[in-house]
Amino acid sequence: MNGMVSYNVPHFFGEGLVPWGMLIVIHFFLSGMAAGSFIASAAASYLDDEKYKKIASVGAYLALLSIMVDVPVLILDLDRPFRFITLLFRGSITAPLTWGVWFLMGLGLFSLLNIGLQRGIEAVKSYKKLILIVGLICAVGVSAYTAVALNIATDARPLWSNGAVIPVFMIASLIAGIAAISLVVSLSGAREGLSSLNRVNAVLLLFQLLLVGFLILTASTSSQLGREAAGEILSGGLSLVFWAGLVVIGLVVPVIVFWSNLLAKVAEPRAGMTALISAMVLVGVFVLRYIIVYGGQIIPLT
Amino acid sequence: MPRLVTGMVAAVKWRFFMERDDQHYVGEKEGAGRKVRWGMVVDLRRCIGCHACSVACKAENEVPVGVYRAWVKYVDKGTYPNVTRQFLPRLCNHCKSPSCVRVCPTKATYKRGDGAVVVDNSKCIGCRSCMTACPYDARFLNAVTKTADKCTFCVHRIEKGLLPACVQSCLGRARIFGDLNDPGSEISRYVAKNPVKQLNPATGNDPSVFYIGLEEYVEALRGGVTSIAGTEGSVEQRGSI
Repeated sequence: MNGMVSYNVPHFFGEGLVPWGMLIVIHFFLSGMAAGSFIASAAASYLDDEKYKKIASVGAYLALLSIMVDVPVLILDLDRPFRFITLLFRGSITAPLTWGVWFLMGLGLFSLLNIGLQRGIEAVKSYKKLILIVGLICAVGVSAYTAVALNIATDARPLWSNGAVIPVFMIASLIAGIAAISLVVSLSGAREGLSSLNRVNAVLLLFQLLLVGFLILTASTSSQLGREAAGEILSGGLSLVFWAGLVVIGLVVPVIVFWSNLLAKVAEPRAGMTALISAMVLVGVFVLRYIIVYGGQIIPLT
Repeated sequence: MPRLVTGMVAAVKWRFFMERDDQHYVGEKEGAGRKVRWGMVVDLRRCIGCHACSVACKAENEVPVGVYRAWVKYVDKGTYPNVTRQFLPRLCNHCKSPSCVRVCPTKATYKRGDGAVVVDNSKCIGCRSCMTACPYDARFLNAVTKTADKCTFCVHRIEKGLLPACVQSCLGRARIFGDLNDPGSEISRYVAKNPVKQLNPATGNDPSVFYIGLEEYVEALRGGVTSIAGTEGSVEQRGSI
């Protein structure tokens, strides 16, 4: 009976209700994918315009497409969606959401310009460097803002206030962008550049596996609340999606496949296999966002 | 015997006619060159868990069904028949450095000069950033206005020299409200005389709501453990304080 809470007023909790729900998870996933696709596209077009032409142009389109779905999702998540416009004029500079909105708008604009670049439109060609650099800044800003929004919210949520959440989210953006490009490229039957994409994701996924482990370990040792949150993820209500969705589907299997290809020096990975693994990686990134967003809120603070 | 009678008379006057100068009226808004910082002390030794505060607040502020700006949490301790129940009246802590204000993208949530943290619901876009940032879960979404909502320290009453509704209605006089910056106010004297604690001080938000007797509540919550190494002088936070 000790410590039994016999009466309380939970504002959000109890039926899986949290302040930031599924629409925010989708927003984080899509904005991360947009940022990652843009970064991959910019890197491809910077490194070798001819060899990686397909990757650069698929990345450019994917970035714009993700933003176009992502911004309406973010607006719909607001309880007063029509007041969204005030964010642009009255934005508080201490709020991560304000920065996020500006970066998202910038990324949308520069993705559009990047498409022009990839299509070889003369008017934008001479500004290639400027477009890629400013676009990259926006992309890094978008991928970082989602994590910073969680990180600076409050010290009372150990999973979010842990600094490791920022690299985890930024790497997740890059992984999702690369996986989305390689999914589209391999589904279109092309193989050019696939092995390079797989090689980058092999390294990133291994790193991500370690970082996620580090995040949960340090969160669980930080405080009582952190232990409860980590328990919820490792063996509680979120454990099934964590172990099956993130660890097995999203990280371990792709790492094994990519690294066995890498070590066996497979020059041309099979398109079907790459498409399947890329889809699995995307599922993993979505589940990661879900677990961090929900895991931070699922333990009531009152 | 005469002492008992005068005591009873004083108690009746105090109880029914609120004849205590410093509680009757919270005082002028600005003293001579002094800034007001409204604060509250909740004396858990006097709380009987009657929910008068919750009800008065709901009636005063027209809080929608299902959500509360002020509420009381119960925690049971011991095994039958030796059981006790601890109460924890809750409200917004009106922190000195509020994390909800920091993350509000439209400056709808702001801190007034007198220390009260309020929401301007004509500016709120309902992004719920403040609800994720509040370490005390004091905020909720008002289903009628579709904006963030929480306790305002009854600023509309304070400005007219009245006490907040929860303080006015508290049966056990467990709540003391006043100016923390005025050394002569009842709340300052109460804070000086009694050991007060804030909820979860580790967040660095520095609440303006203080509790007396929080140790017993935490003891009930954790079954005997009142402190954790490294948190001397403060009540250690737990998920459910």
